[in-house]
Amino acid sequence: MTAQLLTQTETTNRRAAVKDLIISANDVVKTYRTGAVTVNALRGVDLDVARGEMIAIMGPSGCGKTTLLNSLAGLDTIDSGRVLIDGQDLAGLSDAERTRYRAQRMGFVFQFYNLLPVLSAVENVELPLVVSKTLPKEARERAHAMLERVGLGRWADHRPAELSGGQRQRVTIARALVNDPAIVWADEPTGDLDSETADEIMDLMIELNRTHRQTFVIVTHDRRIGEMTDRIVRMKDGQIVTSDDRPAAREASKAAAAE
Amino acid sequence: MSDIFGLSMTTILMVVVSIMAACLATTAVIGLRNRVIFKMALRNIPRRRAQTILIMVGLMLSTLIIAAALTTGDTLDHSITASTYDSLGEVDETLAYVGETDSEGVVSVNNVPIDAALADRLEAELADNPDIDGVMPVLTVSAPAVNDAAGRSEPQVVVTGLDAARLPDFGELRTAGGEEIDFAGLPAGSAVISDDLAAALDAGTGDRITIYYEGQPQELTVGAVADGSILTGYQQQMANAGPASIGEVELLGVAVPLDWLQSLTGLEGQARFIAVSNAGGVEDGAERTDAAVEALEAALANVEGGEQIGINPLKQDAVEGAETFGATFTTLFLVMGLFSIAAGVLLIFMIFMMLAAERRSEMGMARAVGMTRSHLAQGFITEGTAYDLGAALIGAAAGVLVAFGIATVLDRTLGDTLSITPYATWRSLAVAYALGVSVTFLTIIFASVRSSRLNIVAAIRDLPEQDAEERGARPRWSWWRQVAAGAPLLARLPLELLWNVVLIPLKFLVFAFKLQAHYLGWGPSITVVGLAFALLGTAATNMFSFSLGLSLAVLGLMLLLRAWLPTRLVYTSGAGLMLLYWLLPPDVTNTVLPDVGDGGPEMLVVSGIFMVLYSTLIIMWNADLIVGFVSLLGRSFSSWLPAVKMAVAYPLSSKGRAGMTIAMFSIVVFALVMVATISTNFRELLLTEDAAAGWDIEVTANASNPIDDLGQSLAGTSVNADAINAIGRVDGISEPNSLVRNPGDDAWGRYPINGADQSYIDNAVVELQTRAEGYESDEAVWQAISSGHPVAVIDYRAFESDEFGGGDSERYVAPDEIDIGGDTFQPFEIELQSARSGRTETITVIGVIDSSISTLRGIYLPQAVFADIYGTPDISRFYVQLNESAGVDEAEFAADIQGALRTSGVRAESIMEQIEEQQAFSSSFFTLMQGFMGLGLFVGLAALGVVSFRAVVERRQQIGMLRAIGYQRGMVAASFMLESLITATLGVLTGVGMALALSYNLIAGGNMGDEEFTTFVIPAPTIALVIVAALAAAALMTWIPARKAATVPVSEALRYE
Repeated sequence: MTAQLLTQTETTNRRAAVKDLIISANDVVKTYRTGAVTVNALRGVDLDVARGEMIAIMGPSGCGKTTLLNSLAGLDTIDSGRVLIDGQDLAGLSDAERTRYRAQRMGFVFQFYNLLPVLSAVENVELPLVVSKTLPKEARERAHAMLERVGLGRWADHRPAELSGGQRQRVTIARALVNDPAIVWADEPTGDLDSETADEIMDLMIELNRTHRQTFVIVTHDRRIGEMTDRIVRMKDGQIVTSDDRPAAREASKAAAAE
Repeated sequence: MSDIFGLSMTTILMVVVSIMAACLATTAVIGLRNRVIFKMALRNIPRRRAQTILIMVGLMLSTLIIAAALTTGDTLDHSITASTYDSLGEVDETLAYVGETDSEGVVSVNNVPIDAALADRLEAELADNPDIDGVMPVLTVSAPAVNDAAGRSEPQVVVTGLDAARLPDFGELRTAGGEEIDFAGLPAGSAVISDDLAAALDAGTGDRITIYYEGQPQELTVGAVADGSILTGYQQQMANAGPASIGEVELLGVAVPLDWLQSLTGLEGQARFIAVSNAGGVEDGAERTDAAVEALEAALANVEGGEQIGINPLKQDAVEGAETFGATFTTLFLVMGLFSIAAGVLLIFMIFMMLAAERRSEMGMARAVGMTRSHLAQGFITEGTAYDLGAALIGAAAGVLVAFGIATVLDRTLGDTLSITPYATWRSLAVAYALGVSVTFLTIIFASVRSSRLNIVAAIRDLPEQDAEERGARPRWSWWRQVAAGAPLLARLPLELLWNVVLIPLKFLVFAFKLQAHYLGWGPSITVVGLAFALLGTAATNMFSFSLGLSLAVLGLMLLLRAWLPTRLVYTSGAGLMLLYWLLPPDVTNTVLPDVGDGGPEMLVVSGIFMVLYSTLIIMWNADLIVGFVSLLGRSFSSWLPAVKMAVAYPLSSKGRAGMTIAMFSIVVFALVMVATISTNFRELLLTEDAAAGWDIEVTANASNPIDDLGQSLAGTSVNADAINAIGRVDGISEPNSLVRNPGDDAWGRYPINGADQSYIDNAVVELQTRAEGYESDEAVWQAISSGHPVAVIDYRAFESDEFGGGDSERYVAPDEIDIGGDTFQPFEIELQSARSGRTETITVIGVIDSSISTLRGIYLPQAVFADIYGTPDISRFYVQLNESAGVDEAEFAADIQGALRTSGVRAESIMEQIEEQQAFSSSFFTLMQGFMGLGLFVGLAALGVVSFRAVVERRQQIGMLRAIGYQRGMVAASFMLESLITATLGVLTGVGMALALSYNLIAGGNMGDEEFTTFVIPAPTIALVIVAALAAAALMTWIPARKAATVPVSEALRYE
């Protein structure tokens, strides 16, 4: 209870301090029911994220990190509370509207890449553009450019099975960013990678965050990854227990990225 | 049905039950040796109920088709046999005059009367015989019957004279309800009429009817109405020529006292035949036929006048004929069903590959903890057996239902000709069940062994299998590794040679196969087997063997060559060449390949299977080009593009699944379109206006009231003579007496023999398919016929042997060496014999009637030559050609003629009306056949269902990702629907394309029997229906999984592993 109160206090303070909020979650509750078992995945979570911020959500397995990400991103419904993305209440949108909103404003990076094995790298990357009805030629050009941006220009025509884990995750990042989203949601983006590759991927995301001012919400259980972000939000038993601003870390990361 | 494919059903039952027992024993051994695997396998069954149902449906289809085919045979056999028992009652044999002929077999010349007292002498001779309990003289004549009160008439009625004193030995005459009729007690001037005649004349007990014999009216009172049987004159017979020969002619009957009819006809003391009843009832009496015939032969040898009498075991013949007919249908349905069975086998294989894919990580774990590949295979075999036993049971039951449906349709199609009653036998069901279980089991074994091959790590981590790529690249980059891996096998070579070559050569062959398979895969073995078949086919001039061998050899070569050459190049070029082989006419392929003669109907199945296989290979290895086109289309509709992108990507990457599904659709649609195209073209060829040979009405004279000149008979009647342009006459003799053979042959065959008069020759429009060398034109041939020389023309059917084995084995067949495919042929001689007089004549055949003139059947002689050989004809037909300018309706004019000559008992019919009836019958039959074959489409649909449901599970996480990045629910559903439709469309269009190409080759290329097709007709409505139905059903089948995919909860799907 103490932790929860602390978190709420911190959040209130933060909300007062930060004007340009892109994510604003208030008292979000999510409960899963499987037969006789009820799991309180989120128990009144409040969270604000400023535009251009890169935050890490951390905590032990089963604490509700991924559920929070899914709930904030509109991939999952919530039982109560409110989530505003750029001032828009996603719960008030229909499934089709929410889907369209995701296509235009959000990008996703997953632990297991979730690339389509039957498509080449460039085809995977251009998918969000195809959905957004971008002209095929333009979509292909932008996908190629994005792959160049993540250092995979030469691998554009390779299928996921022909790429390494790190390369696949770069493709996923390229796919997440190709439609220039306001927010990128990353669920354990380095969870399936060795530490060296994980660092490379994080460096890439930090660089993109810095250059494009896109908001990154990263779910991770890796402390090293968390320490590279602007803020670490820690969760336990479906609640946010701490929220640590790390401006120094961010500056360090920026400097490292610049080098 | 006791035989099929020339094998006794009991033998077949024993063989298939033995095979099934061996299959089940294999599973039992697995259960006994390894209970854990056995339990694991069985516990898999209830895991996914919907999937289990789908598997059961997939596995039952083969059994369903087999059961439906066998039960249809049983139904027809039973129905015809029942009809035989019904119409013959207790009459088992008839004895009739056969003349002084040395011909082989029994010939019945019913027109020659015999001494009725012969029955008394035989009765005395057979008094103590335990197999015969009745002998009765019967006199029959054909006459018209009229019911003036009702204004109804029947032109040809069989008037049967019966000996009332002997009727009790034949079970008496009975009403339709089974009540006995007191025939002996009927007052003088009374008659018993058959129920069909009663209906035709609208006459009942107490009514008066008139029969006309030699133009004289004879009034009779209907004493009773009896169930139609041979004793009440009811019988069915095949007319021997002319359009009427297309169907069976039903004769209606009147039973009168024998002495009354003898008196009327002036045949006192005479009979037409002697009916014999075997001891026992209607059905068990027939079983004594052999003994009865033996006794009758002995008795006839001992009695006066018995030497010219032949025995006709008509009930036994009819029952055997029913069995042959049933077997013919079963064979036809089974052969046509083979396409669906082949697709079903493919489906079973695919289902198990899918199951293996689903349980891949479990199987990887099982292997990791110590299970061998054999254990995995055994698990699948056990599970498969459980599905198999249940599915075959459902399949057999469903097959019976389908057969009963077919019976209902057939019953409607055949109308009054034959009553079809659904009937199934336990023996056929047992055969279908055992065969279904065995076919499925063997497929499961193959699939299980194939499924058990997996890389443990890749399976556990759900990574793509690498072995396919490795196999393809083996000789190029990892030969050393393969050599090393094969070292243990190589090391065993000397020992194996020493131990096994001497003792068990077969085992060594298996070992050698394993050895070469390790290094080179299946290719070389398939090539060797294929070459063996091809060489055998070349040596024996057997097209089936050669084509099968060549197709296998090329398949094997492709499998071998893909190790060194690009796979796309190998499959495309090899499959392309083989498609050329199947699609080009034989005269083209024979320029580079050996001439292996003509194939039978089995070639349809072989060509279908291989053409589908090769076209599927071409499609799958060039699918990127095909779907590229679809993608281009998709670009034009931007809202569809996301769905199209997904829909085309998956089939391209899953060549196996997509290829098998395409093949399943393709093979079934191929068969459907082939049958539709061939039947349509035959109908177009045989049942058009040309078939009428330029005549409008056929008038058949009544033998009891002969007509010499139809024109003269019509003069002074109400018939408008001005409407008649010409009348031709064709005399014939009844088919049993039409003896024909090729010079040098011992046995006589039967074939319709006709004598055409000058007017017929002058006015008929009969094109010749080919004419004898030395005749410059068709006119020259007809001129020769007109001149009265001993020459004849013959119809093309005389050159056809019976492909399905269900026809008349005594039918005359022209010499094999006569080729009627060209413009001319070498004239050949035939011998004709009059069974009545014993006179034999040699005639030269100088022309073959074009197949489009399908109403002309038999040998056509000059009338003078006919009269010279046969004397009085058994039947005379007149053909009336109407003046077009008169504008009269043919059917109405025919009715006018029949009405005007009703006392002569002529039957007049519009020829076009008969042709149209035949068209309707033919159309109904082929629709039924296509419906049966269409069952195979369920295989393709089940395959789509299996693939789609599996895809939803497999791609759950990917669906989640797509939804996350902005794919709307509709797009996800549309991509699934489109994917299925693209697969189904490729399969359907391939099947249609292959079928049209092959049928065009067969029909337009003149490679389809002896018929001469002038045009190629595409049955567009049928093909459109097949395409639309297949695609609509495919869409329906995918709808549920597509919806399921669309409603996948995104966050849950993303977590799914």
